Amino acid sequence: MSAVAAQAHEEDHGHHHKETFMTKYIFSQDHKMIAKQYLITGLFMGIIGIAMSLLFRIQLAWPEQSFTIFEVLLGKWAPEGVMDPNVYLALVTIHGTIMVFFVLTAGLSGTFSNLLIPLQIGARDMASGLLNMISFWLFFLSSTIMIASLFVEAGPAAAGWTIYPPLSALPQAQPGSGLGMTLWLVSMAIFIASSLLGSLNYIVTVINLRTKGMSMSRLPLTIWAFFVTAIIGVVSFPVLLSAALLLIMDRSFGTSFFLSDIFIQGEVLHYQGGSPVLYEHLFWFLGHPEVYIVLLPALGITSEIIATNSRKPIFGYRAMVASILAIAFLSTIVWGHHMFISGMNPFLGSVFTFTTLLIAIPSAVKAFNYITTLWKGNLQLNPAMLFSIGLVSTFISGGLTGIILGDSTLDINVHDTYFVVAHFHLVMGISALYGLFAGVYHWFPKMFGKMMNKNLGYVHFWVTAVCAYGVFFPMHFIGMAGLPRRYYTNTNFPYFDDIADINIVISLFAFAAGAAQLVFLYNFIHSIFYGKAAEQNPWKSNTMEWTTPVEHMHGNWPGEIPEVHRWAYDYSKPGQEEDWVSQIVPLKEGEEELQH
Amino acid sequence: MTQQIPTGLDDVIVQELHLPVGREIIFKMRSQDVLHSAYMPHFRAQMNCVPGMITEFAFTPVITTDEMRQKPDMIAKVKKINKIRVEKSKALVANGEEALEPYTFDYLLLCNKICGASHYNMQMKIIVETPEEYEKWIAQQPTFAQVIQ
Repeated sequence: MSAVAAQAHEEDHGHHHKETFMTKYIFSQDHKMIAKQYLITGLFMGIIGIAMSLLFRIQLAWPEQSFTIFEVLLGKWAPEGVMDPNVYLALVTIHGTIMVFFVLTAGLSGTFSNLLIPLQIGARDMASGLLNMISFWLFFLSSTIMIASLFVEAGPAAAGWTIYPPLSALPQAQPGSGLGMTLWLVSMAIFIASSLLGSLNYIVTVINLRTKGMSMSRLPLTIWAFFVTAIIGVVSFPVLLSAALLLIMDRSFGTSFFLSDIFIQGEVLHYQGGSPVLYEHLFWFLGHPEVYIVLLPALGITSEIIATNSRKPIFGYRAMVASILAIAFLSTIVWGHHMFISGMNPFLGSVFTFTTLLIAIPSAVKAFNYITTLWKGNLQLNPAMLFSIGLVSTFISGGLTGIILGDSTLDINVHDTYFVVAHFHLVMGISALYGLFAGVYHWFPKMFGKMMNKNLGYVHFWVTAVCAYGVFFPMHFIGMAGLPRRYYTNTNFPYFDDIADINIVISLFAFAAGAAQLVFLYNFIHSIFYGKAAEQNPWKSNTMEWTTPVEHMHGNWPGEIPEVHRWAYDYSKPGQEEDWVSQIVPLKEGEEELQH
Repeated sequence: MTQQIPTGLDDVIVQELHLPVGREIIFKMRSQDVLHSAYMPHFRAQMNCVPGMITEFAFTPVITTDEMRQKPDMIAKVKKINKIRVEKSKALVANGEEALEPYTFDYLLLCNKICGASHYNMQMKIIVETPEEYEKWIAQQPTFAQVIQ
């Protein structure tokens, strides 16, 4: 950009545009508003996803019993208040889809990448405000279609969130493979388009729009995480799109990509030469990187919050960046560990075991660095910090079982049991959710100019933390006892009768956890309107977003964008008066930049 | 049909799986509709059944069903389960329904890949027995040739 153009650009932001309600709140191209739109849509989808899990937890605790709530919410799908098995499968399918994609991908990445990338790198906005707006509205459209699929006559998709064909490909296989499945596929195709537009925008913005002095080695770890997450998304989401398109072809246009030799309901179908295993490869080529698309932003948020609230530099900045890059690379070559018993060549199993166990190394580096950052820190235990520490806890306890599942020989025994359910809920579900909560508590003042209530935050954290373990810890044991997941009821197996009580305990913890989220929702909505006004830098943090005015404005900084002189983690630096130094403060005479 | 697959005439179609103890069993699996997964938790064995291809694995059962039923752990577990079933039956009988049958241990084969509305009820009993018992049992089963006659 030439100097003249740059000046013209400055002036452009200098005076206020006349904004209508539509351009400010609905079709906004301002990254801060888009972040809020993502957050609120994500939270709304989260409410639906969590409510669904509570419904099927009722069924699992008290199988095949009649409940008024089923009659009210499920109508004809719960004759006399007893949940239909098809509905159970639909609920687990849509719960998984919504939580993984709509809440923890779009809701987490969409919110914080949009909010923080321009603010923390010192940019006026995203590289393309228009693409950013389109990205959000495609996400909104795909959410709407996914919700609409709940209301079609035969019910929503019900083949599990992985929608393996032939079950998902054949409308005659089950009611949930009819129109509901078509809508699921259309919704996901649009979702992927949204995700790709968003990711490209994040990548371009981080590469091109950093302010003067913001070298890559001075980037806050949040930005590193969002940047690498976007790259993983661009590499892997198109593969899921191809799988979805091929499945649509198989379903609607008579092709046989994933189907072969099928006899169903006494009828011989014409499909020949395809393989469901091909679908599994395509799905998991996204499916596994998706775990890191969900998790890395949460880890980035945690790095930032733990360093700020320990009042210490993050331990091993370079190791943190290197481990993010290593995880990103490895995430694309481990997908086969979801397929050890799929009929894939067993030799491939040993290859994927090797690559999978390698991921333990960068993951352990991150966990180690969090703990060493906390070590002897001046800990500020606000709700954001507690959720970040909670993330470290669930990341470790969920990660340890990953070592078991990543080993092809050990996996055979517990594949598709509740052991797996416990593992992935702790290591990516709960961890990423904690990251989302931590981010909301920490950046709420930046987003809404208000503070959230601390005490309600403590209640939210402690009830959630106890209940999350209460729900998922016992699942390890019932999984090792051989209990398969996605079973409507276990009463047809007397062998499992002695673990029925555990299911009741798990459900009670789940309901309590659900109630704790209501506390969060109340706190969130109440604080937007009646929260205490925020000061400019409430957590005394070094990163650049806290140098912008509390009141949002187009272009983020009045006047010129400040120059960056140091890394983001100069906390408790010897020789400084305060225990923090903003990135935009020049080095004092004789002060050396920390060699991190 | 018999002329097309002469080698299949001595096949035996069964509703429960009998395995002789101490002999390696090779399982070859197909599916004719959707994905299933043959899961035998007590043998730590599992393999998907995939339409259009044959999947396989093998193991050697070393403990017969009878021996398994005599193990102290298993006796305790079955006792606990039956206590629970008696409690449940009381409520059922009070409602005018039938009481639950007492449980005895059997090895399980169950479906572990989501396959539709009846997924939760897709199971088969596995009986591991001595070679003599196995030979006696298999001799009583009609072959495919006998069934289609």
